[in-house]
Amino acid sequence: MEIAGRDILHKLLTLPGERVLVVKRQHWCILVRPIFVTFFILFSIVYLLFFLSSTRLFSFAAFLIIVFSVLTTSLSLVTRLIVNWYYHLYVVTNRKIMEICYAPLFFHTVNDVLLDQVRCTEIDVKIRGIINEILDKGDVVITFDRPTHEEEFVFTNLRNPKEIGHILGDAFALISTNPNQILRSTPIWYQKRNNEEKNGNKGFTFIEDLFPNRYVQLN
Amino acid sequence: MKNLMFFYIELGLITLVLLTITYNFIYRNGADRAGKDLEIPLSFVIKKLLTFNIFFSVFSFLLIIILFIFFAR
Repeated sequence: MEIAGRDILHKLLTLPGERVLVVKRQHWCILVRPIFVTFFILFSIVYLLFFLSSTRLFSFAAFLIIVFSVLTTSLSLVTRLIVNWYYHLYVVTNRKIMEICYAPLFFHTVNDVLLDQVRCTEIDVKIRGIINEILDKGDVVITFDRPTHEEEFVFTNLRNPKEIGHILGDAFALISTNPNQILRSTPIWYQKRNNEEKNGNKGFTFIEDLFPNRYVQLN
Repeated sequence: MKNLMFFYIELGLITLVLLTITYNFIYRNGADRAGKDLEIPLSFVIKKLLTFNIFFSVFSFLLIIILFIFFAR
C-alpha cells in the first residue's frame, strides 16, 4: 500500500535537497495468517469450553466469563498486529533508503542507508509461489557494494514489487550519473597522499581495510 | 473445593481483563504518539478499532463483574 501524499514524513527528510520517491508498507495479506491463527485458537477455546459447560463441569456464567476475557485479549493482540503493520514503512528518497519499524510501546527501529556512501550493484525482484503471483506480492533485494563485502537491503512482502524495482532502478541510475554526488570519484576508504599531491601526482593511498567482525590497520 | 478453584480462576480472569483495559488505553496513546512522531496519523479504521477495543474491554469487564456476582451467589 502506498501512502497517500508524499509531502508527509518531513521529519525524516534530513539531508539537503532530499525528496521522497517511494513510501511503501508491506502487503496487507501478511496480516491474514496471524489473525486467522489468533481467531482459530479463540474459537477452539470457546468450542472446548462450550462442550465442557454442556457436561456441567462448570456453569454457563463461568463459560461466558472465560469467553469474554479471551475475546478481549485476542482483540487487543490483533489490533497490535494491525498497528505494527501500519507503522512498518519502507521509505526511499533521492539521498537514502529507510526501513522504519515502529511498534508503539514495544520497540522502534530505523535502518538507514545513505546512498552517497554506497554503490548499488543489483536490484532483484523476487515473487515466489502461486499465491504471491496472484496477490502480486514479493521482495525487492538491493545489493550494495561495501569496501570489502556485499550487503543486502531487503524490502519484504511488498505489493507490486516489479514497479518498485523499476522506480528504484531509475532512482539509482539518476544518482550514479549525477556529478554533484560525492560518491563515485573518491570512495571513502581511500585518501589522497599529501606528498604526492604537492609533486603533482594525484595518487591515492590505501589507508585501511575493513572486514566484517575484524579490523585491520594498514600502514 | 471446586467452587474455590473457580473463584480463583474468575479472579484471575478479572485481573486479566483489567490489565487489558489499561493496556488498551496506554496503547492507543502510544499509537497516537507514534503517528505524531512519524507524521503519519492513524487511519480512521485503526482509530475506530482502538476505540472499539477500549469500549469492548470495559464492557467485558462490567459483564464479567455482573456474571461473577451472579456466579458467586
